[in-house]
Amino acid sequence: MTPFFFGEGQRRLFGVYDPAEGLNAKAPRAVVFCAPWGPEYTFSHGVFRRLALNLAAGGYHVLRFDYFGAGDSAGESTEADLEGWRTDIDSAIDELKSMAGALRVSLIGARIGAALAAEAAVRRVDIDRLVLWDPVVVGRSYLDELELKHAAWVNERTRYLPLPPADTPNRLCHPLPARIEQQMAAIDLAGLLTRLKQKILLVLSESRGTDAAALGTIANVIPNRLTLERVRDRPPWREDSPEFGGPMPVNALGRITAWMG
Amino acid sequence: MDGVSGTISERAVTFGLGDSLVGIITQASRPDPTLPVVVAINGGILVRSGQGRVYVSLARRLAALGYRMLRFDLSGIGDSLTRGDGLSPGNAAVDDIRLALDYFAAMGERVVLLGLCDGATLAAHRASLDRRVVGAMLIDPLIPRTARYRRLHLQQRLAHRTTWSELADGSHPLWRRLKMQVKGLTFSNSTTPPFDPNSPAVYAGLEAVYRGLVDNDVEVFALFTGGMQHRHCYREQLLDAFPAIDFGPRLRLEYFPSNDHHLEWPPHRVWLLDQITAWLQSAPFRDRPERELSDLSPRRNVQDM
Repeated sequence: MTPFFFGEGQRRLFGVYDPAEGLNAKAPRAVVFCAPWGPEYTFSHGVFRRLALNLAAGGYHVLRFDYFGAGDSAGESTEADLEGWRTDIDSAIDELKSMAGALRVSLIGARIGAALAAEAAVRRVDIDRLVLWDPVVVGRSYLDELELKHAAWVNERTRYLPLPPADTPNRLCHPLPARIEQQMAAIDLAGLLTRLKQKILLVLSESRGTDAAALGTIANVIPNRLTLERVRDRPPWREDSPEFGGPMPVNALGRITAWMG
Repeated sequence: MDGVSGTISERAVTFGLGDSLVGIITQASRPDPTLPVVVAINGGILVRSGQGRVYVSLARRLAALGYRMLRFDLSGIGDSLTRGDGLSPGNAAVDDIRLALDYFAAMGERVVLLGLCDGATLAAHRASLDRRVVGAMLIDPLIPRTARYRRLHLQQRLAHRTTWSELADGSHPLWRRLKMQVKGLTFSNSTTPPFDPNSPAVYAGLEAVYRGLVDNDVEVFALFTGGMQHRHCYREQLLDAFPAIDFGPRLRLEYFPSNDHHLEWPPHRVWLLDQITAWLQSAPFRDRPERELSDLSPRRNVQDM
């Protein structure tokens, strides 16, 4: 495990590199993780670490990283936007290819990170496989979902204590500036999936909403390239007991590790 | 390994047993050598960046003032690996902090530890043992309940209309608890008894920690929020909980009833940054005489709390 910073100028990004065990120098296999947004990333951080270790043990070079304005990377949360995160994913892919000596890279994306990973797979020619874990399918629906959860959180927290007004727009206490909200609203994964040429694993946790039905329809359209796995796990990006951590989705981790091979 | 933004640099580091602990050091290009270094401890199982990146913001703010700060993940949390040496989680965490100090304060620097919730209790524990630690910023550390706490807490709840409206509409947690008791179920799924900071063993452990802070001449800023009213609800509760300890002038106490414990709400995080910065800048460390270098080694190793 090597934690390090990469990227150019003021856009330094924090990453953790797990080298492949049992190195295959002829054809190194590599995978970059594309993280969810805000609190969903906080809750699921440990799950991605576990998955990274599993894949490294299976012979993959793995890079997890924080987008600009998130985690330990440079920038403030209020400065982040999806356009920048797209370039961050490109930087991470190039960084891992350089570190591992790999020609192609697979992507594992979760929630908003899954949508961004799918975009990268359309944009680039060096993406091998794609894992989309509970992806955000329709950006507007995702924002509505965040707003509902946020309202519930505020309602619970103000049972006994008032909350002072916040200077910047936020959802679930993480800044969500208007710019990034507009960019999220424009996400349409369904239209994107049919343009992908890669093999795709679509992992859906239990208790998914209407977007799960939409994804099921897409799975029927491109059955040769898309494998749909419905897992009996609670989503790791939702807060669970103990507080500030999500559950460990053992079924999903097992399916992803097995599918990646 | 460096991330540089303007004059502030951020460096990813590994240290500890088998380099298993992961942290970030933030500092200006020319840190002020007269200032203590700051080490931030995870709260619960949150990663080292803290709730809403509060420790990232703090590190950058303090670096601009000349401080060096390390935020790191305790073993098994965030990016740090588990230790595998058989220590209990609490003792492993206190020893992780020792390892962080060995790494980060190796040149004899004075250290200020910072922690929230159980991170605060761990920081207090380490600070009570370690001569390198000259300050401890404790946000909602664990303290026992007192008779005054029970009286005030009940008064506050009874005086709040939310209590009555929830009792009336059946949504108050008390109803759920009663229903479960009627059904013969426990409120928690756990088979272990609920944690009680007033149990004799926990009380004795906490008393040893807080007495150790006094004996170790540690400047303490104990800050309590209204978000933990099931544990504390007034400013002097720490003093009342340990009447046998003379905390003296090195303790600063504050109670902010309107602030939430988890620092989730963005204005509360800004408020916390202001509190920490003001305390560090208020000069309790600049005014006090330097400890002799020979006196800066750890006094004791981990002991059971």
